[in-house]
Amino acid sequence: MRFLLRLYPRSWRDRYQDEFEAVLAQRQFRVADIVDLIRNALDARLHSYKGRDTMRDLSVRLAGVSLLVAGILWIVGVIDREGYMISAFAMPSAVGTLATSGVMRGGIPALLLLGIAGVWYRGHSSGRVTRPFSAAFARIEFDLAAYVLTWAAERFLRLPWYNSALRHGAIAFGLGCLCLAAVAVIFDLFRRRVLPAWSVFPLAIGMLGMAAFVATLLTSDSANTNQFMYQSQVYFELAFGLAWLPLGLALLRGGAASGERRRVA
Amino acid sequence: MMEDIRRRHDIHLGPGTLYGAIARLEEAELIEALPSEDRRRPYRLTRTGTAALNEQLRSLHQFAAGALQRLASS
Repeated sequence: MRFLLRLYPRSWRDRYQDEFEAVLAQRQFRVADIVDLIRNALDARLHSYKGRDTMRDLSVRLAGVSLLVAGILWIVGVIDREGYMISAFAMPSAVGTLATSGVMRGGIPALLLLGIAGVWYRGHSSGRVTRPFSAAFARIEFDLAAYVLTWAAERFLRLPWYNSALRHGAIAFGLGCLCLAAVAVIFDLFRRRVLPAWSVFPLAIGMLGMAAFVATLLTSDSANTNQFMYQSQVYFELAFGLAWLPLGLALLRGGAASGERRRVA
Repeated sequence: MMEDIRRRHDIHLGPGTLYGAIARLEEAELIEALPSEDRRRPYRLTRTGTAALNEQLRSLHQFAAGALQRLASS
């Protein structure tokens, strides 16, 4: 049974392996002890020991990478799809096809969900990334999933929802950026360096776009509103994709730093 | 410790569960390891641990006493 001790984290083994082996040596072999060892090795992996937690660090960093990949894929997909509107960003057709394929449209929400899970996990344990911050990103994710579902319904089931999806997506992106910006200011996330300073730009773009959209909605007729939405949505979506990048970087930094006992001022 | 628990309370504690509890208690500074010449280490309660255990037992005693009183009067 001694080989099962390798399932425990290194820090735990450094402290307890010797005496644990002595205890095992004095016991008769029991199948129940094997189950007991495996279960508690998993518990030791999940439970922070002496401030070091390899599983949590790894999950947070994996979530950070996921958010960076998702944000970049999203931006590539938007630029490819709307390439005729942004002629300076022409790219090879294979890249555009990959980015805008159905796999990416399904994979991006999955990656973002993983990112959200990492933020919740990290935020719950350390307070470095606050819960409202996580909730603001979760809102974007839910709206994104709804947007993809309505797009799929319009595309494959021929349901006439595209205009609604367009509006819903534009509102979701703008509101999501507004929520993030509000939380970042209220919880002082820039001064505390949870978010890098440059992340204010995608958030500002999203909020300004949202304000312009609402103004158009209130003052124009439906046809003009739809045209405005269609033309401005690409900028909303670019802001959305860009806004994920600072969160991914924050998680990568947080995951790497959580092995040390750092207190955020 | 495992043998003592089995004899007193007929509870079979696995070594993984025991050391999981020891690790948590030691990390919370409720117990401390004593020096030992062989591989096995004895542990004792710290002052913080004694106070915490007293508080827990007092709370359990109050709860049990209240429950027994209600049971008797029902």
